[in-house]
Amino acid sequence: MSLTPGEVYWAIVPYTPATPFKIHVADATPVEVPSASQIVDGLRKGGDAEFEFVVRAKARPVLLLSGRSDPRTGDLFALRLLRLEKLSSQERQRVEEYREPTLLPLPPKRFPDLADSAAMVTAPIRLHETALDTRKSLGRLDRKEMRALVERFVSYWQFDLRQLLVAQIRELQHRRKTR
Amino acid sequence: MALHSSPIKSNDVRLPEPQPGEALVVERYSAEHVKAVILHPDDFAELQGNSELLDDLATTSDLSDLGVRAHRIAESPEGDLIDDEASVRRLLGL
Repeated sequence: MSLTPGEVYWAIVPYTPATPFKIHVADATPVEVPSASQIVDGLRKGGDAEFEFVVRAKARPVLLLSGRSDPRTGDLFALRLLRLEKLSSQERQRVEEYREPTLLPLPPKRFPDLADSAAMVTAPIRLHETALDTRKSLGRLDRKEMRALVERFVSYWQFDLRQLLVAQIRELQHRRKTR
Repeated sequence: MALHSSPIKSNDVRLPEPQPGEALVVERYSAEHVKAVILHPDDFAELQGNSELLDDLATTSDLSDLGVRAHRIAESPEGDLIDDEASVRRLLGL
């Protein structure tokens, strides 16, 4: 499978599980549990026992934050999108003018089959490749936009890349001297 | 991605001659639509050199066999699935 960072595809995406958790039971309505600690304590009592959770999901377009995929794991890394029509006109304007750091607007001309949307820097998701409908890409951010998105992502999630940057600058200086 | 060059014979195009340090921006319709940028060969060589340097610096770590194994272990069910209501409620103290 050949995927490119910044591409948007339809995918099956679950909502992030949160309280109250719903546990599937055979032939009955799911059992609701109000806290994670209750489930942790219960499962630890049961040794290696596992529950099946009921998680709501829907088909959503997602933006691939990385084009990297390994057939041995099938894992993909993506961001959820937000439809701008869900925002007030003032909020929407703020996003479209690139003034909201956690929402990067997708240029409509490059995503003609997608409702006006923004990539949610705050909503990364891990997907299995089989959850992606790869028949048709809905569009792609260009390299410059992807750099801006990744910078926002690293900044929001506070990844400490300082030592990596220092090491790369030193390596760059060394290579410049030896060119 | 490193910047690569695609040669075109000078007989095939008519171009102005840029000075070193100058970028001639060819616009289509308006300044918002740039069709091409013409650089002096020395500037292009500098740009290409920098591009190659930065490209060489890009490091990626590959997924090892151990990494794959760890992934499979993490994604494999380990115990029995409990889905009868009485057992679920008993474990959860409900």
